[in-house]
Amino acid sequence: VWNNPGLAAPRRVLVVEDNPADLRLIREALAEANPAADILAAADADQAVALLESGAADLVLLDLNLPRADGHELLATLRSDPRWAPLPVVVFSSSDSPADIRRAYQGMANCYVTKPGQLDQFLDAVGRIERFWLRTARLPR
Amino acid sequence: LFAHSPSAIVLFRTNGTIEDLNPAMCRMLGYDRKDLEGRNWWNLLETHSMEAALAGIQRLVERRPESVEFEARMRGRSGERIWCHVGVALVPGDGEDQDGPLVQAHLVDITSSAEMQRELLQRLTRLDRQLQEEHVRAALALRESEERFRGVFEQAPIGMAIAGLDGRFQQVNSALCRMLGIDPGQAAGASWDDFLDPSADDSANLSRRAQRSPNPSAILECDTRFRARDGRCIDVQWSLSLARDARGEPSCQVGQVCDISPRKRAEAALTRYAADLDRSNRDLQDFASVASHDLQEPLRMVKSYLELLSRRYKGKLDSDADEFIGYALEGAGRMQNFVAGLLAYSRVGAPLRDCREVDTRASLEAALANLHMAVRETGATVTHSGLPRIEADGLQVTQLLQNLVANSIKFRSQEPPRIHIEAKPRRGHWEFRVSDNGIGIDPRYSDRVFQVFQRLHSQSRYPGAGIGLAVCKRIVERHGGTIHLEEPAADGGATFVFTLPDRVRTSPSVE
Repeated sequence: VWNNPGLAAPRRVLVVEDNPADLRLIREALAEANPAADILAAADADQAVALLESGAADLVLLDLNLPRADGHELLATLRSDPRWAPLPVVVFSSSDSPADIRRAYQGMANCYVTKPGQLDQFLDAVGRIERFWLRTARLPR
Repeated sequence: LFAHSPSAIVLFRTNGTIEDLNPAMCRMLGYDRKDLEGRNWWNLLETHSMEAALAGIQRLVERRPESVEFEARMRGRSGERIWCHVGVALVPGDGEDQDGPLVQAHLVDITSSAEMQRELLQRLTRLDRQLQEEHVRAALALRESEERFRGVFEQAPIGMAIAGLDGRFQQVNSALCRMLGIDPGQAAGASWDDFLDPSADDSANLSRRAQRSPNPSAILECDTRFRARDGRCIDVQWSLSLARDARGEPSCQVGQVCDISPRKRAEAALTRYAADLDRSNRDLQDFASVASHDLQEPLRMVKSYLELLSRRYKGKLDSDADEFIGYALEGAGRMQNFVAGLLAYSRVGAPLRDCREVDTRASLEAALANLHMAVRETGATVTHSGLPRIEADGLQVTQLLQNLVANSIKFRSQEPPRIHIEAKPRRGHWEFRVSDNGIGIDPRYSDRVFQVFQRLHSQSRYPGAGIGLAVCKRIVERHGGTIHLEEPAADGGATFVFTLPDRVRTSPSVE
């Protein structure tokens, strides 16, 4: 069981983000929220899968706008593989289009968060994601 | 017998000397007996009847038949004419004296029947004359109607042709000749088939259809294409019916051809125009997504890193650096507003698709919920009356009310904003009025306020992208309504008036 008080708090986040500027912002925000958080970064779907295969992550922060296979496709790949099916995936995208949101939830994303345009709100959003999905949520493994 | 006979009897010698007569005779002619005794029979006859009477008597005397009958007109005492049927016979056993043989004449007054006959005859003559006149008139009318038909046929503005049942032309009017590029002389012998465009569907060959299954009561009709002698293509509306002869048998094809090329061209132009419009609409929607992503993203980066810079290094660099970063941040923020506003504006440009019944009171409540911070901060009071249920895009109605209320709050005067929204039914639509006690709007700019990026105030005093009212106008117009700014009242403030129809005609999407 996640977040079992007897176990060490999970803190490894896989950030799938091709934009280095955004990646840096997310790093800043995560560092602010939880200095102990461990960040793996993938710039595309293939890298993401390779990283997951080489070591477990506790949370995936997924951008939709990726080169080649986009975020929706990567989500489908994760959900169709029993190894990663229960892994919490939070879509973190600048798109607020209802079509993207609906498609992400239909693809079994755990949460959809639109990247805020203001830095404060951006930091807050990442902080909330970190707090809930790494510290509060209990998911069956 | 002689004296009491009801029929008039007179005895006279052939020279006319009356020998005797009975009272009936006197009564018939209106004479006293003594007046007639000694009178000459022949003088009692009308001149016109003399000949017939003489001939009758002569035949009686010469051929000696039993009797001779004739009709004669007698002259009565007062000059009146009396038509008589006269039967004459020689008196047997009477010797002939110098005045001639004695003749007995029986006269029957037939004046009334004779007159009837004459009148009948006159009437017959009159009828006959009328009949002849009618005949002449009918002949004239027939000729006139034929001429009129020829005129109508010949000068009709649409092409007309009379063809045999095999589709071969018998008569072609000038409009059709012009259309097909032929001389009237060339038309005979040609047939519909010669002018049907080969690319036209076979079912569009009405002449063949009429030949295959003659249904004389129906008018066949179709839009098809003809090809003129010179190769021109003509879009036509062609109708064909079968005329019947007196026995009801189909006798010929009557065709009408209307050149609809101009209409078709206009239709094609309209279709092209609609497609262009649709494409440009799609381009606009594409632009919206470009604005949403490709513009917003880099802008977000610029702004976020400026903020990060400011957060980490404010007060650590010199004061110029702080000022520069401040201006850069402000510019980036404004640009974000513009892009967001433009995006909102293009989004309400999409055709209305999702219209259902909307309670505008609930729309106002939703709008106020979105504005609750501003309402609380400014102490605004928002009242309403008569807000109806209408058919509309609910989200857009909320946005419309929200923008107008936000506008009133933003351009408030010194006093806390008081905003009243009321609706009144008009014919087929509702009229909404949103009035406030704010700073008002100069009527000179009553049109400009609805244009995109048009602002009446400095950015520093009233920040904003100048999009809100443009979005309102677009939403109202998408629903088939209108919006305008009312002339300012004496106590100031602004009043926006807009209409929304009871029911929205969802614009069909053009593919």
